Amino acid sequence: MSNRKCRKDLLQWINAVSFAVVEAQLFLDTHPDDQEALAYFHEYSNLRNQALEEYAKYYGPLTIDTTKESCADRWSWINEPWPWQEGGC
Amino acid sequence: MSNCRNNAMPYNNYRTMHAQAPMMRRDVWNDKALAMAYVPWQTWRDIYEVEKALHHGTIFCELDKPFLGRGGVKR
Repeated sequence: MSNRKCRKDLLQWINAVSFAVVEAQLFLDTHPDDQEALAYFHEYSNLRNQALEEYAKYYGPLTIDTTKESCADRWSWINEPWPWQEGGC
Repeated sequence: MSNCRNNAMPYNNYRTMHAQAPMMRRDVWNDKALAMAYVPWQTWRDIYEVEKALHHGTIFCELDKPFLGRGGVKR
């Protein structure tokens, strides 16, 4: 993302793109060789991973799989607001 | 994309369509067993944009059937 999205927008984008990925996944479960659906899935799955990486870089890891950078030398996972706290995701 | 096909044909269209004498009617269902349920095979088409899809609860325009209280067809 060239311009850096604010936390809320980035989270909204992650929600939307994650939903689309799951929808494509469910369709592919019954249509495994549908090329269009497969292309759609890979495209949005990549977008989702990029968005998660970006979120982790700027706002702290959202999921445990994106703690690579931020928790390299210290377990900074605990510095981020917990989901139930103000500012939590 | 909004003009996605909606196969929930309202009942009165269906009735008039099949009003001719039974013999003349080419019934596509005549080789199908009675009292069985048939689900048409879904194809990948009419995909919503992701933000709208999240809002509508599906990426498929054809499956976007909000409850409207009457007739169940999307306005």
